[in-house]
Amino acid sequence: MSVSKKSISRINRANHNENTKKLVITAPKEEVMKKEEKEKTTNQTLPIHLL
Amino acid sequence: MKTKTICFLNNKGGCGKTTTCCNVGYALAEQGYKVLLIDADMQMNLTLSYFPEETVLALAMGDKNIYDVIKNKGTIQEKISSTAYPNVDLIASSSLMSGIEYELLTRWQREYILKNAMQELVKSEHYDYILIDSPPTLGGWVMNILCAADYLLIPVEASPWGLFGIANLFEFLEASKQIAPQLQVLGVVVTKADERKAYLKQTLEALKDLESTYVFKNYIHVDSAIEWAQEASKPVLVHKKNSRSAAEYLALAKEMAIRCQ
Repeated sequence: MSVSKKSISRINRANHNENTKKLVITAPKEEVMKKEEKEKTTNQTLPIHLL
Repeated sequence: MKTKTICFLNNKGGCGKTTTCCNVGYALAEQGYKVLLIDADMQMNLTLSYFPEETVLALAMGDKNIYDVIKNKGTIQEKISSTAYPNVDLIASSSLMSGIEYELLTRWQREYILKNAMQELVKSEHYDYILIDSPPTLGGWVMNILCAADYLLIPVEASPWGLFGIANLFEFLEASKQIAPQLQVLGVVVTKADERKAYLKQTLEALKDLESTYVFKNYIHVDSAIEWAQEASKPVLVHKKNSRSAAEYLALAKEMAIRCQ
């Protein structure tokens, strides 16, 4: 993996720390909402009748 | 308007912290905001962006600089110098700042010295924005800056070492969260962007993978007008108003002001 990719992973790791998320990092509200919405959609389990 | 304190920090040297601070500060002032710039870097380049060399050296060796504030030699309000431009004031740095880490070692509540010194000034709401230019280090003095600031803006050079630098910074932020809980990261600004280099594209692509950290839409390209402005001790928005970088800094300042709301 390249230096830049590893660095981005380190930043994401630091940002994933629960305390940092709550206390330090301002996530851009609109983008985080979009991301969370996306995660919700992809993580959703299909109702059994649709499987 | 409540005073907003923003620090410009990245422990990588030469990534454009001072130039961004200088020009964003001027751009905000041009939009009618009252701005105070604090040069917290011993290199004194932010001071040199607004004053001629003789004045910079006189301020550094005199008693109107940030070092005197830390040494408790008068209030921060007494250290403010007016610049040649309306709405922009500045607190100069000093080469004596090179020993600041030693000075802080024996001080009570050493991480909060700058915050405490700025308290009255912030409370007075005399300024809309206080912008702090930080040194390229991660130590006790930078911790003071983080404790005094509401927001952090991270200029990053489009290079592998630039990204490595911000990764170090984010790990430092993780460690500093306990003593600077108020701090919010406004985002990352790409500087010195050179469209002739394919690496710029790769950097921008890599930055897209950042989770929960904002990357400013406006970034700053390499522009020789910046060096000429530095040579003239003026913001590029004054020295060459019609330059590409002047327009970019203006757009960045507007984007930043919206992010702070």
